[in-house]
Amino acid sequence: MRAVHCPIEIAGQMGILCNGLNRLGVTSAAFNTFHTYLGYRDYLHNVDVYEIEYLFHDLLEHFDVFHFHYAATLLQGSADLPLLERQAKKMVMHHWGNDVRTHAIASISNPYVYTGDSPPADQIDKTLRHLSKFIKHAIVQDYEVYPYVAPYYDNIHVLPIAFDTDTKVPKYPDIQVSNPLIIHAPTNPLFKGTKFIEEALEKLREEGVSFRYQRVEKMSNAEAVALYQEADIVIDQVLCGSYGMLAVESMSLGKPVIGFIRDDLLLKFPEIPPILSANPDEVYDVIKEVIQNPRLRVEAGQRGRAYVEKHHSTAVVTNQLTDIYKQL
Amino acid sequence: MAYLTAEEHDLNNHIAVCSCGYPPTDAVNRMWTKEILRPYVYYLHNQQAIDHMFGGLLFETDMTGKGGQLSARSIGFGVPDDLEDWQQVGAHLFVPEHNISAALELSRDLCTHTLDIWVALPYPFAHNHSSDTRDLARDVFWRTDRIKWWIARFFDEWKAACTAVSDHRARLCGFAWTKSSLAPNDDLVIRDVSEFIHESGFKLFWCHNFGTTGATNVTELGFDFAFTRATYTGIEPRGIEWIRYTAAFAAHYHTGMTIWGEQRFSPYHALDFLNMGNESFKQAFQLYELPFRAVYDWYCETNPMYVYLYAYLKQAFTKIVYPGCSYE
Repeated sequence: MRAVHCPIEIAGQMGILCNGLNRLGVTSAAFNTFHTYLGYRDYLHNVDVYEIEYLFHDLLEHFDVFHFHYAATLLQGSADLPLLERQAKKMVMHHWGNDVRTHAIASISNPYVYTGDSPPADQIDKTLRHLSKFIKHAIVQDYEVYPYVAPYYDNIHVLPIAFDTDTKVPKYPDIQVSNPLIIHAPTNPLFKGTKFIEEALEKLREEGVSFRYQRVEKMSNAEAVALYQEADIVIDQVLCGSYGMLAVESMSLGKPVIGFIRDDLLLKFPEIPPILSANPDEVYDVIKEVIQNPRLRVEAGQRGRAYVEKHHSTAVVTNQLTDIYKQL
Repeated sequence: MAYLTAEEHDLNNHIAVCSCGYPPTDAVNRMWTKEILRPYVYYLHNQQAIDHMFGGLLFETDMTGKGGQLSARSIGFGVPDDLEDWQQVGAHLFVPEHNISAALELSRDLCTHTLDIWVALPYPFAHNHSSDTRDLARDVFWRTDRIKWWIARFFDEWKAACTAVSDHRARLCGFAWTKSSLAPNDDLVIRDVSEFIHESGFKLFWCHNFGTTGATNVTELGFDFAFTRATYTGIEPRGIEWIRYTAAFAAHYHTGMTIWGEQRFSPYHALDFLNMGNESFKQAFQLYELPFRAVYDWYCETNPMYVYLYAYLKQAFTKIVYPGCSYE
């Protein structure tokens, strides 16, 4: 089996999954046409859409499984899908959230959610209708994303975010630290609720609570991860209602993570994630508690590391992915 | 501005790409013999050379037998290249009576003309599977060094081949960079490599796609000139107009044009380019990317494409309308 991942790299996932698949003996390659300052380079080929068009027929001949990401495929307007279908190629679409999240659905369960990064609802609908005409299987990372695509695809698989836990040595918070370093890394401050987080931090600072704060932005993922290693507390997001790559990376490093996890989703994860949940109304109290309770920081860090090893390690996730491939 | 012409660089127009080695999608080692190359170098009628045909040949090795990726076209289809792969490229190009050696022998009978020989540089993939390459400066040095080493070896092999065919009428003109999109720091590698090539009295050109970032800065990057390829798929928004847009770009930015014949899109794919070329860019400097030995097969099968191509090269082509032709 040969699998190709393309065309949009989100949170390093195409590269990580390909590396994991190759280790399992599934020949895989990832082509990324979405280039950002995050600078993902590992186990993927950074190209542009025109190179994909140039390579199109070679890709078609060489690969059996087409694993698409972020509601995009090989050719503009997903014009490749009829050709792939005609050749009986196996296809799966991996949706990541902002590509399908509509405010109408998201706001049913979450009054805080920000959907300004998503395309307009009618465009999402049109895209999903077209994609699902040819692609019968979709993958989502959790049950927060699930309902956006549920009306469209015949089969939806939940596959957790993958992370190379083996390559990260946890560095648990030092229980002796009295002014912990808090890190928040908003790739999009509106989506992450940075305003609420920083307002809470400002209030705490005015009250004389001792902590250090670093906002990590506009640097490569490799540089950012190096900074996370020094953190005592990581704040992911307080609006979305689920957790993403920053939380997984941080838990892997043994850091306590604050983020908003919707109550109705808690039992839908394979086990309740050890994330210190805080929505905008709660974030001040939760941050204060974590700052003032170093033992909590260490315990949350240890539980986070165990959680990602169990549910997010590349080997665990790619084993699940190969099972999905067998169902295509 | 106007299209780039071959004359302004004192070069022969109409360069045929001779892809060799293993292709991305097959296990056949492509070798160019004198017999296969003959209808490329000479216009043949009943086995007799009536005229000369292409003015230059560009040899490019895609992959080695063990799957080492060497060309832009092989990205993602093989395994990361190593030193042995790079050594094999040189050896492969000069196999006695094949590839460049065959071209040298064939050129003997060119009475009043010379045959321009171009060689595609193997692409120096950044080996991002090692954490060492986080150090991009070291990565640039390593990649630049590898290319210079390879070119120096190539010069030695070229001299030896020329000595063996002392009465050849070919001239080595330089090298091609065939990766269209530029990876981070490729620009630094290219500048250094181009200086090295220029010091030896040769040229370096770039094969890029219309739309590729940086395609408006050809000479600033260190290239002598460039050929622009329309990634024409025949499917909107990459229909026939895409070739016209590409031609307009080439005229404005003073590049040559690539004639791309990808028969897996359509048996008339190359003919569409000739028709569009006849409309606008027929006098531009042109590069022809046709399937392996396609011109030989056309000649042997008395396929009219052979005559069309000859007519096009000689500026005597008139538009060919075929069944289902979608444009005026």
